[in-house]
Amino acid sequence: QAAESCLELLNIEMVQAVTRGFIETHTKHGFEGEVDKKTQDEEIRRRLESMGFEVGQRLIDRYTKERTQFEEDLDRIKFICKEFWGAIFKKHISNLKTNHRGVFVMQDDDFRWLCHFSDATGSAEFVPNYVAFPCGLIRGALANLGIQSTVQAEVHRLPACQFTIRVLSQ
Amino acid sequence: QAAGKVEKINAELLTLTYGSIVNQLLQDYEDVDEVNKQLDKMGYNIGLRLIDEFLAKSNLGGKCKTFKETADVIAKVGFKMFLGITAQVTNWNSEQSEFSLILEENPLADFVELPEKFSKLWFSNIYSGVIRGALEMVQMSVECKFVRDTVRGDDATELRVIFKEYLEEVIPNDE
Repeated sequence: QAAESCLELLNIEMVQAVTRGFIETHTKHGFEGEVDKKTQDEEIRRRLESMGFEVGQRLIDRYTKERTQFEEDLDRIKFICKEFWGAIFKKHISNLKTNHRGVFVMQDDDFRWLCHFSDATGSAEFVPNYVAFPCGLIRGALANLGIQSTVQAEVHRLPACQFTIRVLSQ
Repeated sequence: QAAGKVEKINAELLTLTYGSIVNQLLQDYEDVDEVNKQLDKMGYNIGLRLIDEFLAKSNLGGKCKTFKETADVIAKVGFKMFLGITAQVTNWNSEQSEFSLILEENPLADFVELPEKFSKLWFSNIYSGVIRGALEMVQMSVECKFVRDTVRGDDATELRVIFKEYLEEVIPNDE
């Protein structure tokens, strides 16, 4: 048991540290000279997303050990919305929608990791970097439940966050 | 019961997330000393903010008057509130200006095995920064560093905290 605030602050510092790490070492990773802001942000998000992916894979294995197999994709997604979200954030996803053709939209109306941001401070432009890790978490968890997917986050009004899952056909 | 009002989460996510950050920094910098510095820096920034919650929720009813009291509060209240563990305060120097914190449990280092090439890494170095940052916000300048870590195969995990000076006023410096 750890304090939730530790994780929230760690999440913020993680984004900062990965950003510094990239900027200070980018030539080592094959990026020559000046890197424009867009490329830089994309690469930082890619890294955070893949960190989240690995953590998601390891976490879901801990929560599913004694569970029976899932019948359908919808059951797996529901497991993420309830059990997985519940274990991490102590609450369920606020709203789940699907088009029944492989797209699922999960909305968390009060996403804990965005509660330190406010629209007023103008930090909204940096928000995409702060939701890359949780996108990876979801994608990693789903991968170990047998669903290959892409996950994108959209933040229209803080601290609500909408995750769009697109199931990739096998 | 001081920690009762703090929202708690499962520590596994914290542990795994921290591990993935250390891993990423090792890949980026390929230099263990630099990673130690980066972890300390992250901790410092966290400490600057964490102290607010600590003061608001610890119900200590006043400041720590001595460095000795401060040490006990960090060990018994601070670690308990944020990580659910306690530390032992020990190895005071004769001037009472340096002490060690012995961590018998360390949630950050669960499931960690360090490869040989990273043997100089202080895996949990974020703690050093957190303590330094938090104390700076209560006008106390300290140096904080690991001297032993079971992750490295040492017989204990020991953080050394060295008092430097009382600060006149607080100028937060986000690193």
